[in-house]
Order: sequence, then structure tokens, then C-alpha cells
Amino acid sequence: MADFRQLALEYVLADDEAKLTSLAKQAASELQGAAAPTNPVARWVESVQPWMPGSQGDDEMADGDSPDWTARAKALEFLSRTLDFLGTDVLKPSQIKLLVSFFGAMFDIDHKAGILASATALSRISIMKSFQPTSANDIIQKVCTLKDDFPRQVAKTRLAVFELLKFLITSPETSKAIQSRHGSSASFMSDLIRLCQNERDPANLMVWFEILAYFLREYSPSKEILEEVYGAFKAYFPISLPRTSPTGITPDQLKLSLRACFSSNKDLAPLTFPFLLGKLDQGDGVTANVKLDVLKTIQACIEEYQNPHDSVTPYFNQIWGSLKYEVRNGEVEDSIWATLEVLKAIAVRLEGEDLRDYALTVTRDCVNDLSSTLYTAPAGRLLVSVLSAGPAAFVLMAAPAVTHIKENLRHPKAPAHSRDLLKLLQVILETRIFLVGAKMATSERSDFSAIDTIFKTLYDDVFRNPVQSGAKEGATEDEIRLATEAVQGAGALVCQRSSGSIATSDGTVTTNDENEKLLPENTCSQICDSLFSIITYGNSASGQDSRSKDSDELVNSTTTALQRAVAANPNAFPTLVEKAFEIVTASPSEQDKASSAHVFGSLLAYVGCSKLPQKPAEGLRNYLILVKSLQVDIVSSSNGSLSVWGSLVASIQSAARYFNEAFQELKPERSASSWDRSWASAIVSKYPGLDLLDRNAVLDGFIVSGSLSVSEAYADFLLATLYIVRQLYQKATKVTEIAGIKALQLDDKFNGSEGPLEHQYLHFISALAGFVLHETSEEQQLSLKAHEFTLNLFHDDAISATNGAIDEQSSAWDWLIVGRPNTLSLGVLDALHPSSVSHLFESGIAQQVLLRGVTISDDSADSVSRAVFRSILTILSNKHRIETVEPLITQLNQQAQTVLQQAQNAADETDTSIYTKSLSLFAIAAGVLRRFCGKQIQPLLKLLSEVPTAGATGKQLSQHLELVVAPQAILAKENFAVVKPLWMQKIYFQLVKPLLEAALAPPAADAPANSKASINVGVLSLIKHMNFPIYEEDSEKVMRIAISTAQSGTAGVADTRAALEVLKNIVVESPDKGESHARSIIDICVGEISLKKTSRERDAETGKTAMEIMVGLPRLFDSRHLLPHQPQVERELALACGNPVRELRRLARVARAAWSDLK
Amino acid sequence: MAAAALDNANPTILSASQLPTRQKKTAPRLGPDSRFGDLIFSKPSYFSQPLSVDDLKAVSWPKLNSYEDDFASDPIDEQEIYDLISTISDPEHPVSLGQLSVINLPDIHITPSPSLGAPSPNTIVQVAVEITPTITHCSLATVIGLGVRVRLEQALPPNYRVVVRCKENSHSQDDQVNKQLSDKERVAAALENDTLKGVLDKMLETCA
Repeated sequence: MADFRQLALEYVLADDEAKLTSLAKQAASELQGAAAPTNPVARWVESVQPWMPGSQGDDEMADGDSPDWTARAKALEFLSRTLDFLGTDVLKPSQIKLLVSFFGAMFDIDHKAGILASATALSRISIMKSFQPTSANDIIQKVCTLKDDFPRQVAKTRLAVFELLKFLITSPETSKAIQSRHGSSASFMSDLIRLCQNERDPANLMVWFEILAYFLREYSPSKEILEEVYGAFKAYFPISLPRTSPTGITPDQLKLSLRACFSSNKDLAPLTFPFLLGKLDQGDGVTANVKLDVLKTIQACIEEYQNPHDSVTPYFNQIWGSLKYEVRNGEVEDSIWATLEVLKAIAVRLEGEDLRDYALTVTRDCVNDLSSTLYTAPAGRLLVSVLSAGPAAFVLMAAPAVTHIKENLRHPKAPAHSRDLLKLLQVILETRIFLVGAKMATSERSDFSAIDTIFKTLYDDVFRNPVQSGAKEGATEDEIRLATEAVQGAGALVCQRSSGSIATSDGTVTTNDENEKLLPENTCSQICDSLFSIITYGNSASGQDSRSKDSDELVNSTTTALQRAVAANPNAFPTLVEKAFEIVTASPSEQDKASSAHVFGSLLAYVGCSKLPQKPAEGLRNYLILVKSLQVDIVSSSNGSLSVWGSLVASIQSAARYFNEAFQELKPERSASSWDRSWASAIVSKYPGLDLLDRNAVLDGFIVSGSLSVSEAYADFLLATLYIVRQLYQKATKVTEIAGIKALQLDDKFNGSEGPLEHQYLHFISALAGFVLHETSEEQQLSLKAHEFTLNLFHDDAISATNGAIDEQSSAWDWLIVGRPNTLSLGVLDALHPSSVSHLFESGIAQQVLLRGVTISDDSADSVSRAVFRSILTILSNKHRIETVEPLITQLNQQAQTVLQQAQNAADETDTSIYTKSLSLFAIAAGVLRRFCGKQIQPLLKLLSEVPTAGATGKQLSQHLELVVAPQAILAKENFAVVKPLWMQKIYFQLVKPLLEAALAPPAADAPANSKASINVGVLSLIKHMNFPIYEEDSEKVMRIAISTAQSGTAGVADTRAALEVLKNIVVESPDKGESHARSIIDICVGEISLKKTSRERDAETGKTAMEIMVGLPRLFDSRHLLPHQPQVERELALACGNPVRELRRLARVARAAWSDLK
Repeated sequence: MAAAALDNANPTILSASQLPTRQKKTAPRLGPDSRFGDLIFSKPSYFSQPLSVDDLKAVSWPKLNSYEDDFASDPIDEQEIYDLISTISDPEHPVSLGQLSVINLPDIHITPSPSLGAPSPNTIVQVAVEITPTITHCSLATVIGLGVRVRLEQALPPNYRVVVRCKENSHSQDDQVNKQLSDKERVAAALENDTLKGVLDKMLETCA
């Protein structure tokens, strides 16, 4: 038989938390395990007897020591702790009753030691199975006996009591028992309020408020008790919390909790509204925060009170009367917003006659203000906040509001007044767009459509004149700003849908035709025309001459408005295209034509393609009309300037990008099911307009028949754009025959006469091809056999992309390797998924291209083609695992060895073939090394690491080692390149580390004279592109190399720049490493910024890096390292303030100030 | 400088947009329709370093909107001097000298003129700045003049000589003020004065 007395004693004496827990657990298990006849519960309770009053008696001890409160509290805690570990079904009803009366008595007799333990114990007991809900009332009564002793308890104890009360009052069984006992009088609440009235602890208040809110909500209290409870929580309002309060409770939580009390019962309305409004009307005494709290509380009451007819209606006049000035004259944006929310909430809650009264009051008060410049904007906000509450409020208020706006627009007081009125009208129109789609009952819908007429005449009555003045020559600033508002309103007007209705059987109503427009067709096209003429004027010569910030904003707003208008009325678009092309064609010179083609091309792209209309097919038609018109313009002007062609094709790309983006919002599926090699004929048979050659025919060449789903339209968009690309490619290239083999070359148009424009145009169409293919899925690319486009450039009938014996000497694809059409090939290749690229290897052609690339030494190619070709090599070697392709990899490795030998044996730098071949190998390495660093490519790595020491060409080649690691767009993951994590680190260990060792080792006897310098250059050109952490452990060595390179007299401009960039990086990341080299760093930088250098030696970019280091040094280094050099540096910086380059002068001044502050 | 003793309690202040700037050409309009412009017209990667290892400068990329080259050679001109000193704060008001029209672009003169190209470091260049006090009896004209002088001496190379004067008839005692400002020894002595130095430092705090 367990000795509970012993356990209790041990518990009282123990301090360790673990020990306490284990003792309590032990007691609990004894209780559970002991046989019933031994009456364990009684023994357990009696075990604390020695510490209880009465055994020795508090009173008897009055003469001597005070009782040991701590021990007694601990003893009681022993009991409550034991309960925590006791199963809920162990105790019998009689035992529970005993315990309730035992612990309940503590509130009365033992307020010093027993409260916390009793409250916790009772909380535990009240969830036990045999607990009688009727006991809840007894417990509450007992708690109330604490009376004045309650506030004297520490906060933690009070919290336990509050938690106990909360459980008893809010849990379903006990609350039912309490309610049936007390009825609506709920006298226990009065006692509780008296008990808790002085509570100030935030955590306790949270619970207390919760109890009160629950009570008011669920207990249906009598009026008296309601008022008493209201008095209890009202005293706390407005509540705040010291910022340094240690509890985890935020002021917002506390406010919300108190707010819940206010909004808990509709019967509180006669008390809350006058009280809260009274708080607001205190004027300056209310801080912004309190005002916000009051407003939010009012809003909560309005939203939560049931039966608004009784609770809200009697007070809306009072609320409105008080709150309207908050918006009318208010300055704090937060409280204005909160006020508007309150006013809107009223309109949301009220119905029928009540709503009508409220709406009338608001309208009557606001419309008068519309005639004043000062108050129009706030009156507008008030009107909109209420009329946007729902269709019913809108119907009541829109008509009078619009009438008054129109009236006042006829006699505006000031330009700002008209602008505010137009803005208000626009917001009302936007509200209508929003509400017309809402669900409405039949009667509501017919009410809604009854006021449609007032909107129908708005364009003629209001918008026409200000919109037209936007396109007027010599418009004043005010007219332009007014027009800016008007176009937005017109844009909102033209999107309005009719609210005509059809009642369905279930009583709900849907609009009869989603697309039925409110305005007649000709008004819509008038609006579109007027908007378009503003843009036309803005971009005309006279419009450009008077350009200002305001006129730019007008054009931008008009563009947005026109985009909305076209999305709502897709049929208006072809006319706009026609007009725009008339303007482009009428341009006096090719240069003007190019610029207006660019302006109107991107404008139409945005207006017609950036938003998908309700029917995707109509959007697709507009897109096709635009891009086909642009393409026809290219095709039909064979003698046109390439700058015009460039603008046109850039506009096609713009349109494609906007349209693609519009689709992406709707997440179309990318299915390849109906895509195959004959895609071109399939898409043309679906859209015959794609083959048209006359622009006028194009406008009517695409007819919307049937409907398309978003995914279908998206697929057609991609294929049609690809077809346009195909036409552009075919236009730019032609088939010839070289030595009996068919090949492609650029069209005669690209004969070099237009220089860079030719490159730009080719880049534009190849970027367009890349964009379309990039948007196709991997599966779709495979179905299209997109890899073939790389080779045949869409001349699928003439060039077969399947043959390809591996023969590096074959020149069959030389036109692709070193010929100028390779730009077109690159665009396609860049967008291919690795799986498509693999097909190029299956046919053997990719191998041939790679091998030919590293062996060819043809210098006839121009520099752009060579750069493009290197990119092609990089992509091929990155997107396919070439290390597994035999015999390709063997031959590449052999070639790497051969090139290395040739380089080592080269007598001078004139042998450009070594140079060309090496760079090709570097480009391949750039692709492979991002993916793979294994032994199959060791000879290639060897080439990279030994090239700096290779004779006369070494130095030149080592400068270009950066090609391997430099960031490149074609190797970005977005372009489906394969980039492994930590690839840069691997390169550092395999390539840079050995070079670093070689650079710092004593020179070998037979080493060429310059080998050290070129290794240094190699190291720096690689490290330049790496992040500091990669080479952090060797940064000391790297710094020495950088310094020696920059100091050597033989370093070229590029080498010095690389050295300074690396130095800057190290100094910034790890200043302490640089401090010991302060002198050298300063000397190098001073040398670079010195004006004594001849302008030929001076490189502005290097100078900038040097200057940036100088700016940073005083901040980065300890001043003792810098002070010895200060006079010299200040002299040089003073001189550098006269540097011919403005940016460098600016930096020099910053550096000068930083150095002069050095102490 | 107690508020009660303000020489001119209510000066005319220009807004930032009214001040002269280097941006003579307004930037192109950037509307919703030009979102992809930069992307489409950007130079392809094979056209720039390090991919294009050859000298591609000859094959320049046609630009949509020509903008100024950061590294072009540009002599110090009046606008640059203006930018250096117009940001000095007024000792009385929390606004800049440019906003108060104490410093005006037409009142800055450089000889030899910058339009002749960048001068060599051995050419002596004279920068003359005329300040216009906001009122004719401004007691702080000398302090402002001193501030301008100190700022320019800190920001210009040693071959530039700075002359600061009051604009003719802009001050009731302009000859006195000019005399003080051009007296090197008095200027040097003024800078030894800790109180004055403190005022000057406060004025120059706002200079970038």
C-alpha cells in the first residue's frame, strides 16, 4: 500500500522539476492501481494534512512564526499535479464531488497558498468523465468567495482562475447547466464582474474578454445584466499596451478581443453606437490610433449585429452624421479608409426601405459637395464607398450621382474640379463593371438594367470633348491632364456590358449574353478612334515637339484604355491596324518609317495582344492580322531598308511575347497530339490567311469560325507564329549548290551594304524563332522535329537533315559552320531541349559540325559568324553528353593534343589557325565543363591548363581562357542548358589550382621567357568570373599574382583590368588579406588613375575599377596602413578630379573626401 | 542661427524639377507598350565580350534609343560646377542654394571655355561664381560665399582657380563681401575658426 504521506513530503522537499513530475506520476499510478476498499483517494487527499490550516492552525500560530505558505502551496500542488497524470475515467462521481468541495473550499479559506493549485486542479477535474455539469455553478460560486483577495493574487494565479472560468462558462455541457440554473438573470455574472473588475494583465484580459463576449453572445442575458457586462468591458476602451510588455500579446490581439465584446450582441447597439461615436466626437483629444480603433469597432458592430433592421437602422443617421466629416475634412489616410469601410458596411447590411433611406441621406449630403472644387474628391469617395456595397445600393445612387456629375462638369469651378469629377465618374463605371457580373435576383437585375440608359449617353455628354482635346494641337497643360482622366473614363465606359437578364428556373439570373455590350457598335468604334488619334498625335512630329511629362502620361493612359477597349470589342482592332499602317507607309523617309513602324508596331502589339478577349478565337484572329500584316510588309518591300524590316520584325516579336503572356495567365496545356512534321501545311489549311501576300487582304483574311478553347488557341498561336518565322527565314536565305551539294546562303539583300543592320535583322528573326520554340514543350519539339530547323533553316524541301557520315574533312555543312546563316541556326538551337539536340547526334551531323569546327582554319568568315559558331559549339557540347559519343570524343581529344603541340611549336603569333582552333576547343569546354569533369575529357583539360605556357601564342590564348567560365545567356538554365551545381568549384580544383601552383613555383630552366606572365594572365582571367568563396583559401596567392600582373610593365589593358577586378573583389570580401599589400595596391591604383599616362594607355573601365578601390580603401583598411600614403594619394586624387571622363571625376571626388577624413 | 533672427524668413523656393540639369534630352516615353522593348533590342551575347573575342567595336549594334556613353571624354562645364555647389544647404533654411536661386547656372563662368575641349592639367582654368543673396542685406552672404569656395576647392583639380563674388547690385555691401571673399588670408583664418567650420561642415553635408 502506497504511502501518500511520504510522497507528499518528498514532493514538498524536492526542487528538481523532473523529480516533482516523477513523484506526481507515481502518486497518480498508485491512485489508479490501489484497491477500492483501501480508499486511496481519501488517503491521497489526507496526505497533505500536515500542511493544512487547522492541523496547527493559522490562528494558533499568531503568536509565533507565520505558517509555511510555500510548503503548503507545494503540498496542494502535489495534489493538482497528480490529477494531471490521472486518467479522466478513474475517479467516481462521489470522489469528484468531494474533490470539488475540497478545492472549492480553498478559495474561501486559503487565499494565500491554495488558489493556483485549486484552480488548476479544478480545471483538470472539470474535464473528467464523472464530473457533474451542475457542479460548475458551485465552483463559480466558490471562486467568487475570493472577493478582494482575487486582485491580490499574482497574475499567473489569476490566469489559472480565468482559464477555469472560461472553461466552465464556454464548454457546452457546463454552460447549459449554468444557463438552466440562472436563466436570463445570470446573477453569477454580477459576482464575477465584481471579482474581476480591476484586472489589468493583458494575458488575463484576453481570457476575460473572451468569457464576456461568449456570455453576451450565447447566454441571452437580461437587460440589466447586459448593461452590467457592458459597463465592465466598456471601461477598458480604448485599450492599448505598453510597447515593452513582456507578454507575447500584441496590442492588436487585445484590441480585437475587446472589439469582439462590443460586437457580441445586437442588444448592445443602443449602448455601443452612442458611446463609440461620442469617443470620435471628442475631437482633438482622440489620437489617430484610437480613432482607427473606434472606427474598426463600429464596423465590427455593424457587420456582426444580427437583425440590422433593429440594431443598425436606428443609428445610421447618427453614424453618417458623425463620420462624413471624417472623410470630408479628414487628413489621415488610414482613418479615411476605415471610415469608408464603416459606411460601406452599413450599406451592405441594410435592405429594402432602410437601404433606400440610407442611400438617400448619403446622396443628398454628397451631391451638394460635388459643386465645390475642394470637396468633390472626398464627396466622391463617400458616394463610391456606399454605392459599391452592392447592386441595390448602386441602383439607388448611381443615377443621381451621375446626373450631378454631368451637371457640374458643365460649369466646372477649376481644372482640378473637372478632373476630380471625371475620376469619380470613372470609378462609378469601374464599380458597374464589377457589379454587373454579380449574382442578382430577378427583381434586382431588372432594377439594375433600368438605370442602363444613363450610361449609354455618357460618351457624347461627357467624355467626347475632353478626349478629343487630347489630340488637339497646342493643347494646354490643363487640357492634357483633363484628357488623361477622360481617356481612362472612356476606357471604362467602352468595356461596359449590358445588364439585360434572363430569369432561370431556380430564381437566379444570369446575363443573357456575356458579350452583349452596353454601348452601340458605332459609339464603341468612335471611342476607339478618338483614343487612337490621341496616340497618333502624341507620336506625330508636332506632338513630339511639345512632349512633356503630362503628355507622356496621357499617351500611356490612352494606350491602356485602348487595350481595354479592344479586349472588350475585338472587332475594332483591324481598323486600328489599317490606320497604323497608313501612317507608317506615309512616312517621308526610311528612318521615319523605321521609327514609326517601331512605335505603332509595339503599340498594336500591346493593345491587341496583351489581353485575351472573352472568346480566345477573336484574340487569335487579331494577333494573326497584326503579325501577318507586319510580315507582309517585310515581304512586299524587297528594296526597303533593313532598319524598317528590323522594326517590323521586332514588333512581331513584341506581339508574340504579349500574346504569350496573356495566355500564360490562363495556364494553357501544351499537348503535342496533333503536331507532326507536316505542321506547316496543317496550320495553313486551318488559317489560309497565313499565305496571303497583300496587306489589305490580310485585314479580312482571318475569319473567326467556331470557338476555340484556350489550349487550342494557344497551340494555334505557337504554330502560326512558327509559320511566320518559317516565311521570314525563307525570305532571308536561299538555296544554292556548292560542289554538287545543296547548301544555304543569305539572300542577296544581305550583301554587306547595310552593315550592322544586317546582323541585327538576322538576330531579330532568329530571336523570334528562339522565342516560339522556347515556349513549346519538349514533347512538342520532338513531334515537330524541331532539331531539323537548325540545319535546314525551314527549307525542309531542299536540305535533308538526315545524312551525315562522320567525316571531319567534309565541308557539307560549312555554310552552317562558318557561313553567315549560322545566326539563324543559333536562335533555334538555343531554344531546343536536350532531347531534341540529341537527335542531331543520332544523324551524325552534330559530330560532323563539332569536328569540323575544331579543325577548320578558314579565316574567310567574318568575326560575327565566328562568335556565333563558338556559341553553337558550346550549346551542342552542353545539351548532349558528348563524352559518351565515340569516336567523336576521341577525335576531339586528339585534336586538343595536336593544337597544343602546334601552339608549343609555334614560332610567332601570326599563325591564326592555332588561335581559331583553340578558341573552338575553349567553347566546347565551356559547354562540357558545366556538366561533366570526368576522365574522358582530360586531354581537353590538359590543353586548357597548358595553353598559357605554350610558346608565342600562350599569352594571347590565356587571355581567352575566360571563355570557359564566363556567364553566358545560352548556358542559362532557362534555355534548357545543363548546369550542375558546384561546376565552378570543380573547374577551380581541376584547372585553376594547378595553374596557381605553376604560377608561384620557381621557373623551370627551359621555360619560355614569358610563360610566368601568361600563366598569371590565365589564372586571373578565370578567377575574374568566380565568386570569392571559391578561391578564398588561396586568396593570398591570387592577390600576389594579381599584384605582380598589374605591376609588370608588359601587361596589356585587359590583363590589368582583370587584375584590378580580382584585387577589388578580394579587398572587399576580405580586407585583412589586402592590408599587408596596401602599398602595392595603392601604387597600382594611383598608376591607373594618374593623368600622366597617355590617353592610349588609359582605359576608362580600368580607371573606374582602380578608383572604386581607392574609394573603398579608407573604409576597408585600418587607417595605420593608409596614413603613410595619404599625402601622395591626396595629391593624385586632386589631380584626378580633372579627369576628362565625368564618371571618373565623380569617383575621384568621393575618394578624395574619404581620404581627407582619414585619421 | 536662432529662428527669431532669420534674415529672410520667407524666401522663394524652387522645386527640384525647376532646377537646371544635365538631362537635356528627355528620356523616351516608357509606357505599357514598351515593356519588351529593351529585351528585344538588347545586344545578343555573341556580340559582346568575352564571347566575341575579335574586335567587334567596328560592328556596332544599332540602338533603339541612343544614350550617352558613360566613358566619353567630357570637360568640366558650368553645369558640373552648378551640380557641385547648388546642393550646398542654406545656413538659414533646410533647402539648397540652388532651390533658393542663390546659385544660378548663368552666373557661373569658366575660362578657357569648356567648349574648347578638356584643358591639359597644366592649363590654369578660372572658375568664377557669382552668388545672389536672397535679400540685399543678407548677413550670411560671406558664409555662403565661403561655403562655395571651400566646396569647389575640395572638388576641383589644383589647376582650377576659384573666384566667388556677389552678383552686382545683389547686396547692399557687395564690395565689402567681395573683398572678404577674395582675401586669401581672411579665408584661411576663417577656416581656423571652429564655430564657422562647424557651420560650413553642416552646409556641405548635403553635397554628394
